[in-house]
Amino acid sequence: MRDHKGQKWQEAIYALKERVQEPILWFPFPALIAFGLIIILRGHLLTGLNPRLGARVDVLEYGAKHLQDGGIWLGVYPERDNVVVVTSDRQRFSWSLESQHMGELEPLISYLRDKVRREAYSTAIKLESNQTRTRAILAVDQKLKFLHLRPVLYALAEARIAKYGFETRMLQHGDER
Amino acid sequence: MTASMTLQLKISRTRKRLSNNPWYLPLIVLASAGLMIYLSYMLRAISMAGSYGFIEAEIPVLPIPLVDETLARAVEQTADEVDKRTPLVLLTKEALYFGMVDAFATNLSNVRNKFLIPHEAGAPNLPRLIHEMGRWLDIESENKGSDDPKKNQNALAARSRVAMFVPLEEIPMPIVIQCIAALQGSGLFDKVVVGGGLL
Repeated sequence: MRDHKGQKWQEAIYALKERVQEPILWFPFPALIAFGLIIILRGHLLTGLNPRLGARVDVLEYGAKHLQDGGIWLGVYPERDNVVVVTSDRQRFSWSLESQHMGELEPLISYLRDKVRREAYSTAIKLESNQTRTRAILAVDQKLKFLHLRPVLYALAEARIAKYGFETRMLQHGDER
Repeated sequence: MTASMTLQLKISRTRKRLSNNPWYLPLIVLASAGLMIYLSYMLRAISMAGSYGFIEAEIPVLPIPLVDETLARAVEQTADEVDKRTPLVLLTKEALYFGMVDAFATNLSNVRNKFLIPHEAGAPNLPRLIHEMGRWLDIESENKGSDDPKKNQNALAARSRVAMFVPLEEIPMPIVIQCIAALQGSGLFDKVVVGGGLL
């Protein structure tokens, strides 16, 4: 009986000794690996591949003309009581859903004007123009009403962008007109 | 130390390590949450469509012709013009109305210069709109060369490939976009100018 107790004590002492002596080196690594993957994917890889990835825009599914060339891409979606506009280069503009004050659009108008000015400069330097470069592609969330899009159209008109269009998700790849 | 003792020690050590370290549970939760976010990004990335469609619309611009002082004397031509005789489609919650811009600008109360297409089961009856507009434009076009100058002007306007589309504020965007697409796909118009808020 005494031997059995002594053995148990010995085991307990050995176990405690082992636990205190051996450092557990691997414990932060699952979290670090997950964190690292998120940082890499979010910061560098996926956002650079597709501007639509970071925007919570649920566009209409419709078999429209295939979108060949790019342009000034703007994702428009509601967030709480705001209308949010995100751009392909991760700029973000927002104003209240009920906003009647056009002054809130100034940052977006300035951004669009700058885009158009840069394109005009590039056209002058290269001596070649591409109309689609100054065309606005609006990815509009299905929850929005026309009332919410009017400020964006106003901003486009202020920035002298006459051509724009609405992005739709293709139902199938062969559905191209 | 016997083999069984060593084994028991190992088991005990593992059990202790798994149960006693207060860091494990938060770490597992944190790592799981991180991996879930990562997987959701991956799922979103692979489920996103590779190709997108495009429904075009336009904002009318005021032409300011520049005088070309060079020998070429180039003159800029307007592609199309929007005036009071341009076909216009108005979308309300109850019906689609169409007529010329004039009918909605100065003669709004006149019921004889515009047409009404009621919605079918709450949705715009676009096939009927296209059909009725096609008929209306054909009839207007037939008046070309008429002695009546108004009919003659209407005939010229009916040949215009530009349509104005004016949805009311409360119309959801998917319906607006589908109406624009239907007008463009009808073959009656090349350009659709969305007018709400700009008129």
